[in-house]
Amino acid sequence: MTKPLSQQLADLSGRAKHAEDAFGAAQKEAHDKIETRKQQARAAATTAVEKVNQEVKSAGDNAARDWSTVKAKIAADMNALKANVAEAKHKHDVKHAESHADRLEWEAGFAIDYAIASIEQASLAVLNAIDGRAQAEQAKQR
Amino acid sequence: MGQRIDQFCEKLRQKLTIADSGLDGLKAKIEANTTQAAQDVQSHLERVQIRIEQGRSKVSAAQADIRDWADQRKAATKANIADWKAKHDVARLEGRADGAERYAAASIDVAVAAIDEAEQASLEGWLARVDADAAQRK
Repeated sequence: MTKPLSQQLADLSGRAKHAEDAFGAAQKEAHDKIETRKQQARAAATTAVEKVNQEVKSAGDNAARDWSTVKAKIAADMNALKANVAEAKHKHDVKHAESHADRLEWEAGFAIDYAIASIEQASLAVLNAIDGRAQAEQAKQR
Repeated sequence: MGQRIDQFCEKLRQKLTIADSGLDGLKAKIEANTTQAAQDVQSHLERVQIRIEQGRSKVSAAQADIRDWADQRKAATKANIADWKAKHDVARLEGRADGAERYAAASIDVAVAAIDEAEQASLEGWLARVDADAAQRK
């Protein structure tokens, strides 16, 4: 994970605020400006979704690497068990708790990126709806 | 601008504001890292889990709306839309706008649910790290 969770949550919060501002502004704007906003929203949504896709792919790679590491650690733990059962049990518990926390933190980072991608997609959908309604209204007035 | 879109944007604004302030509060709790933090985070997590469970049927319905829209969108090509505009086919253009609004509403429901899921995952990650740190200190 490249950023701490608190920073990622701040990013998510910022995206929510940005989307809210864009919806408010789009309601008052002319078609060409809405079109520019839609292009920006589309680009942001594409980037966010690509990032999530990349994370899904890298999760597969990480799982393979982690598996080799886990196998090596199991062998080491077996030796430790022979030497001192109580000490090895403690190490195993700590290791398990740490890897569990690592996994959940990674999942949280992924969930935040997924939420950001969802907000970007929803932003684009709202701008499309505003634009679609404006076009229908224009046709009605002619 | 249609009244429906005004109401719809207001609904979005409210939802996003609530999500925004909730995330700010969560961030402050994590950064403060006080002795009470773990208990506060656990309570917050339980509230988020209840919210996720309560919203599950709504999210399923939203996902079905999104699938419907994807099918409708295939039918409404750029050429078709240009033709409807040229012929002032208000009925079709309004039908398309109605569909786009339903899709936008569904997308927002999915996004809000994703924010709840992200909040839940962050809280679980934070609590797991607290447990791991405590195990190391023993």
